[in-house]
Amino acid sequence: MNPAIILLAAASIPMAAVSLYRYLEYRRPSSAAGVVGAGWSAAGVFLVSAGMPGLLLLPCLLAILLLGSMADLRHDRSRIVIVRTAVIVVLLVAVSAGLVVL
Amino acid sequence: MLGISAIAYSSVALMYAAFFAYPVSPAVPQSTFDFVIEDKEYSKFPSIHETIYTNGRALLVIATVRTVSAPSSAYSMIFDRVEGYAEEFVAENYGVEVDLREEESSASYPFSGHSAVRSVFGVYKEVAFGIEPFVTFKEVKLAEVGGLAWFCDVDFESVVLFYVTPVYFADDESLEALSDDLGSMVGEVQCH
Repeated sequence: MNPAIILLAAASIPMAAVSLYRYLEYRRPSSAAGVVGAGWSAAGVFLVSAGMPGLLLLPCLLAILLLGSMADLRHDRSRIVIVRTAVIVVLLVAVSAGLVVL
Repeated sequence: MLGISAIAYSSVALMYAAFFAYPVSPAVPQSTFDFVIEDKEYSKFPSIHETIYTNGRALLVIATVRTVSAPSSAYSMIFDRVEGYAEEFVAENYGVEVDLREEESSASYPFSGHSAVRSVFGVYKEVAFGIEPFVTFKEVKLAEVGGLAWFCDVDFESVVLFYVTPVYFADDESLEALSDDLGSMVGEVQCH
Protein backbone atom coordinates (compact mmCIF):
# COMPACT_ATOMS: atom_id res chain seq x y z
CA MET A 1 0.00 0.00 0.00
CA ASN A 2 1.29 3.42 -1.01
CA PRO A 3 2.12 5.45 2.18
CA ALA A 4 0.57 8.55 0.54
CA ILE A 5 -2.81 6.81 0.53
CA ILE A 6 -2.44 5.88 4.19
CA LEU A 7 -1.60 9.53 4.99
CA LEU A 8 -4.69 10.74 3.13
CA ALA A 9 -6.94 8.23 4.89
CA ALA A 10 -5.38 9.07 8.27
CA ALA A 11 -6.29 12.75 7.79
CA SER A 12 -9.84 11.80 8.85
CA ILE A 13 -8.72 10.42 12.23
CA PRO A 14 -8.33 13.76 14.10
CA MET A 15 -11.82 14.87 13.01
CA ALA A 16 -13.24 11.47 13.99
CA ALA A 17 -11.62 11.85 17.44
CA VAL A 18 -13.04 15.36 17.94
CA SER A 19 -16.51 14.26 16.81
CA LEU A 20 -16.37 11.22 19.09
CA TYR A 21 -15.34 13.40 22.03
CA ARG A 22 -18.22 15.81 21.29
CA TYR A 23 -20.68 12.95 20.99
CA LEU A 24 -19.64 11.41 24.32
CA GLU A 25 -19.82 14.86 25.93
CA TYR A 26 -23.07 16.26 24.40
CA ARG A 27 -24.78 13.24 22.72
CA ARG A 28 -25.67 15.27 19.63
CA PRO A 29 -26.63 13.35 16.45
CA SER A 30 -24.43 15.70 14.38
CA SER A 31 -21.38 14.56 16.36
CA ALA A 32 -22.28 10.92 15.68
CA ALA A 33 -22.63 11.86 11.99
CA GLY A 34 -19.18 13.46 12.22
CA VAL A 35 -17.71 10.14 13.39
CA VAL A 36 -19.52 8.25 10.60
CA GLY A 37 -18.49 10.88 8.04
CA ALA A 38 -14.84 10.68 9.08
CA GLY A 39 -15.05 6.88 8.83
CA TRP A 40 -16.57 7.19 5.35
CA SER A 41 -13.79 9.61 4.28
CA ALA A 42 -11.08 7.23 5.48
CA ALA A 43 -12.76 4.18 3.92
CA GLY A 44 -13.48 6.19 0.74
CA VAL A 45 -9.77 6.79 0.16
CA PHE A 46 -9.16 3.02 0.11
CA LEU A 47 -12.30 2.45 -1.99
CA VAL A 48 -11.15 5.04 -4.57
CA SER A 49 -7.76 3.35 -4.60
CA ALA A 50 -9.59 0.09 -5.35
CA GLY A 51 -11.51 1.66 -8.25
CA MET A 52 -14.56 3.48 -6.83
CA PRO A 53 -15.22 6.79 -8.64
CA GLY A 54 -13.69 9.49 -6.44
CA LEU A 55 -16.49 11.90 -7.30
CA LEU A 56 -18.89 9.97 -5.02
CA LEU A 57 -16.81 10.69 -1.93
CA LEU A 58 -17.76 14.30 -1.19
CA PRO A 59 -21.55 14.14 -1.92
CA CYS A 60 -21.89 11.05 0.32
CA LEU A 61 -19.92 12.76 3.10
CA LEU A 62 -22.12 15.87 2.84
CA ALA A 63 -25.26 13.69 2.88
CA ILE A 64 -24.08 12.01 6.11
CA LEU A 65 -23.36 15.39 7.73
CA LEU A 66 -26.74 16.72 6.54
CA LEU A 67 -28.58 13.80 8.14
CA GLY A 68 -26.79 14.51 11.43
CA SER A 69 -27.51 18.22 11.27
CA MET A 70 -31.19 17.63 10.43
CA ALA A 71 -31.46 15.26 13.39
CA ASP A 72 -30.01 18.06 15.57
CA LEU A 73 -32.74 20.39 14.26
CA ARG A 74 -35.46 18.19 15.78
CA HIS A 75 -34.21 19.04 19.29
CA ASP A 76 -32.43 22.32 18.81
CA ARG A 77 -33.75 25.07 16.53
CA SER A 78 -31.08 27.58 17.42
CA ARG A 79 -29.78 29.89 14.71
CA ILE A 80 -26.37 28.19 14.56
CA VAL A 81 -27.90 24.75 13.82
CA ILE A 82 -30.25 26.22 11.17
CA VAL A 83 -27.37 28.08 9.47
CA ARG A 84 -25.13 24.98 9.58
CA THR A 85 -27.87 22.82 8.03
CA ALA A 86 -28.52 25.43 5.33
CA VAL A 87 -24.81 25.65 4.50
CA ILE A 88 -24.56 21.85 4.15
CA VAL A 89 -27.68 21.81 1.91
CA VAL A 90 -26.21 24.55 -0.32
CA LEU A 91 -22.86 22.71 -0.52
CA LEU A 92 -24.55 19.39 -1.31
CA VAL A 93 -26.67 20.96 -4.07
CA ALA A 94 -23.66 22.82 -5.51
CA VAL A 95 -21.43 19.72 -5.46
CA SER A 96 -24.15 17.50 -6.96
CA ALA A 97 -24.93 20.06 -9.68
CA GLY A 98 -21.19 20.40 -10.33
CA LEU A 99 -20.87 16.64 -10.79
CA VAL A 100 -23.72 16.63 -13.32
CA VAL A 101 -22.18 19.56 -15.24
CA LEU A 102 -18.63 18.12 -15.11
CA MET B 1 -12.67 22.29 23.40
CA LEU B 2 -11.37 25.10 21.19
CA GLY B 3 -7.80 23.94 21.83
CA ILE B 4 -8.62 20.32 20.89
CA SER B 5 -10.37 21.47 17.68
CA ALA B 6 -7.38 23.64 16.75
CA ILE B 7 -5.01 20.70 17.25
CA ALA B 8 -7.32 18.45 15.18
CA TYR B 9 -7.58 20.95 12.27
CA SER B 10 -3.79 21.50 12.36
CA SER B 11 -3.17 17.74 12.27
CA VAL B 12 -5.50 17.38 9.28
CA ALA B 13 -3.72 20.22 7.45
CA LEU B 14 -0.31 18.64 8.19
CA MET B 15 -1.44 15.24 6.93
CA TYR B 16 -2.80 16.76 3.70
CA ALA B 17 0.48 18.63 3.26
CA ALA B 18 2.44 15.40 3.81
CA PHE B 19 0.19 13.62 1.28
CA PHE B 20 0.79 16.22 -1.45
CA ALA B 21 4.54 16.31 -0.70
CA TYR B 22 4.97 12.52 -0.71
CA PRO B 23 7.10 11.63 -3.77
CA VAL B 24 5.18 10.19 -6.73
CA SER B 25 6.03 6.91 -8.46
CA PRO B 26 6.68 8.14 -12.02
CA ALA B 27 4.65 6.66 -14.87
CA VAL B 28 6.92 5.21 -17.56
CA PRO B 29 6.71 3.38 -20.90
CA GLN B 30 7.03 -0.36 -20.29
CA SER B 31 9.61 -1.06 -23.02
CA THR B 32 13.13 0.22 -23.49
CA PHE B 33 13.58 2.82 -26.20
CA ASP B 34 16.60 4.50 -27.73
CA PHE B 35 15.44 7.96 -26.70
CA VAL B 36 17.48 10.15 -24.39
CA ILE B 37 15.80 10.39 -21.01
CA GLU B 38 15.78 13.46 -18.81
CA ASP B 39 14.40 12.62 -15.42
CA LYS B 40 13.78 15.33 -12.86
CA GLU B 41 11.70 16.36 -9.88
CA TYR B 42 9.72 19.31 -11.21
CA SER B 43 8.19 20.30 -7.89
CA LYS B 44 8.28 19.14 -4.28
CA PHE B 45 4.86 20.52 -3.27
CA PRO B 46 2.78 19.13 -4.76
CA SER B 47 5.12 16.34 -5.77
CA ILE B 48 5.53 16.44 -9.56
CA HIS B 49 7.96 14.27 -11.47
CA GLU B 50 8.81 14.97 -15.09
CA THR B 51 10.38 12.54 -17.57
CA ILE B 52 11.39 13.68 -21.04
CA TYR B 53 12.20 11.28 -23.86
CA THR B 54 13.61 12.88 -26.98
CA ASN B 55 15.98 12.22 -29.86
CA GLY B 56 15.83 15.78 -31.11
CA ARG B 57 13.10 15.06 -33.63
CA ALA B 58 10.37 13.42 -31.55
CA LEU B 59 9.41 14.28 -28.01
CA LEU B 60 7.52 12.59 -25.20
CA VAL B 61 6.98 14.34 -21.86
CA ILE B 62 5.37 12.49 -18.97
CA ALA B 63 4.40 14.39 -15.82
CA THR B 64 3.25 12.45 -12.75
CA VAL B 65 1.47 14.69 -10.24
CA ARG B 66 0.30 13.90 -6.70
CA THR B 67 -3.44 14.67 -6.74
CA VAL B 68 -6.71 13.55 -5.30
CA SER B 69 -9.30 12.14 -7.68
CA ALA B 70 -10.24 14.76 -10.29
CA PRO B 71 -13.08 14.93 -12.82
CA SER B 72 -12.14 14.51 -16.48
CA SER B 73 -13.06 18.15 -17.12
CA ALA B 74 -10.09 19.17 -14.95
CA TYR B 75 -7.78 17.35 -17.36
CA SER B 76 -9.64 18.76 -20.38
CA MET B 77 -8.91 22.26 -19.07
CA ILE B 78 -5.18 21.53 -19.41
CA PHE B 79 -5.61 20.60 -23.08
CA ASP B 80 -7.86 23.61 -23.75
CA ARG B 81 -4.84 25.82 -23.08
CA VAL B 82 -2.37 23.88 -25.22
CA GLU B 83 -3.18 25.57 -28.54
CA GLY B 84 -2.39 29.12 -27.45
CA TYR B 85 0.54 28.13 -25.26
CA ALA B 86 2.24 25.97 -27.90
CA GLU B 87 1.77 28.57 -30.67
CA GLU B 88 3.29 31.25 -28.43
CA PHE B 89 6.15 28.94 -27.37
CA VAL B 90 7.10 28.08 -30.96
CA ALA B 91 6.86 31.73 -32.06
CA GLU B 92 8.99 32.98 -29.14
CA ASN B 93 11.63 30.22 -29.22
CA TYR B 94 11.92 29.43 -32.91
CA GLY B 95 10.48 32.55 -34.57
CA VAL B 96 8.03 30.42 -36.55
CA GLU B 97 4.32 31.14 -36.78
CA VAL B 98 2.39 27.89 -36.60
CA ASP B 99 -1.27 27.13 -36.16
CA LEU B 100 -2.33 24.39 -33.74
CA ARG B 101 -5.77 22.87 -34.30
CA GLU B 102 -7.51 20.27 -32.21
CA GLU B 103 -8.35 17.36 -34.49
CA GLU B 104 -9.53 14.72 -32.05
CA SER B 105 -10.68 14.79 -28.45
CA SER B 106 -12.23 12.32 -26.09
CA ALA B 107 -13.21 12.65 -22.42
CA SER B 108 -13.22 8.89 -21.80
CA TYR B 109 -10.53 7.29 -23.91
CA PRO B 110 -9.67 3.76 -22.72
CA PHE B 111 -5.95 3.81 -22.00
CA SER B 112 -3.67 1.66 -19.87
CA GLY B 113 -6.60 0.26 -17.88
CA HIS B 114 -7.97 3.72 -17.10
CA SER B 115 -10.39 6.19 -18.61
CA ALA B 116 -8.21 8.99 -19.97
CA VAL B 117 -8.84 12.40 -21.47
CA ARG B 118 -7.23 12.59 -24.89
CA SER B 119 -6.61 15.40 -27.35
CA VAL B 120 -4.74 15.37 -30.64
CA PHE B 121 -3.63 18.58 -32.34
CA GLY B 122 -2.31 19.12 -35.84
CA VAL B 123 0.54 21.64 -36.26
CA TYR B 124 0.01 23.60 -39.47
CA LYS B 125 2.09 26.20 -41.29
CA GLU B 126 1.64 28.15 -44.50
CA VAL B 127 4.48 27.17 -46.85
CA ALA B 128 5.41 28.92 -50.12
CA PHE B 129 5.72 26.71 -53.21
CA GLY B 130 7.12 27.69 -56.63
CA ILE B 131 9.38 30.48 -57.88
CA GLU B 132 8.51 34.20 -58.10
CA PRO B 133 6.20 35.38 -59.53
CA PHE B 134 4.39 32.03 -59.50
CA VAL B 135 4.50 31.46 -55.78
CA THR B 136 1.51 29.78 -54.22
CA PHE B 137 0.91 29.28 -50.53
CA LYS B 138 -0.30 26.01 -49.18
CA GLU B 139 -1.06 24.99 -45.63
CA VAL B 140 1.04 21.99 -44.63
CA LYS B 141 0.66 19.74 -41.61
CA LEU B 142 4.09 19.74 -39.99
CA ALA B 143 3.58 17.47 -37.02
CA GLU B 144 1.12 16.16 -34.51
CA VAL B 145 0.90 17.05 -30.81
CA GLY B 146 -1.01 14.65 -28.59
CA GLY B 147 -2.01 14.78 -24.96
CA LEU B 148 -3.33 12.13 -22.60
CA ALA B 149 -4.23 12.54 -18.93
CA TRP B 150 -5.67 10.16 -16.39
CA PHE B 151 -5.95 9.47 -12.66
CA CYS B 152 -3.94 6.52 -11.33
CA ASP B 153 -6.31 5.47 -8.56
CA VAL B 154 -3.90 2.89 -7.11
CA ASP B 155 -1.39 5.60 -6.18
CA PHE B 156 -3.52 8.77 -6.07
CA GLU B 157 -1.51 10.34 -8.86
CA SER B 158 -2.47 12.02 -12.11
CA VAL B 159 -0.45 11.38 -15.23
CA VAL B 160 -0.30 14.02 -17.96
CA LEU B 161 1.51 12.99 -21.11
CA PHE B 162 2.40 15.07 -24.17
CA TYR B 163 4.06 13.91 -27.35
CA VAL B 164 5.21 15.69 -30.48
CA THR B 165 5.75 13.59 -33.59
CA PRO B 166 8.74 14.24 -35.85
CA VAL B 167 8.15 16.70 -38.68
CA TYR B 168 6.32 14.89 -41.47
CA PHE B 169 8.16 14.40 -44.74
CA ALA B 170 6.34 12.36 -47.33
CA ASP B 171 9.31 10.31 -48.53
CA ASP B 172 11.43 9.95 -45.43
CA GLU B 173 11.00 6.40 -44.17
CA SER B 174 13.23 6.89 -41.12
CA LEU B 175 10.96 9.66 -39.84
CA GLU B 176 7.90 7.53 -40.44
CA ALA B 177 9.57 4.71 -38.49
CA LEU B 178 10.41 7.17 -35.73
CA SER B 179 6.79 8.29 -35.64
CA ASP B 180 5.72 4.63 -35.26
CA ASP B 181 8.26 4.14 -32.45
CA LEU B 182 6.86 7.17 -30.67
CA GLY B 183 3.33 5.81 -31.09
CA SER B 184 4.35 2.49 -29.48
CA MET B 185 6.13 4.33 -26.71
CA VAL B 186 3.07 6.42 -25.88
CA GLY B 187 0.82 3.34 -26.03
CA GLU B 188 2.92 1.56 -23.43
CA VAL B 189 2.98 4.25 -20.74
CA GLN B 190 1.55 2.99 -17.47
CA CYS B 191 1.26 4.13 -13.85
CA HIS B 192 4.57 3.12 -12.11
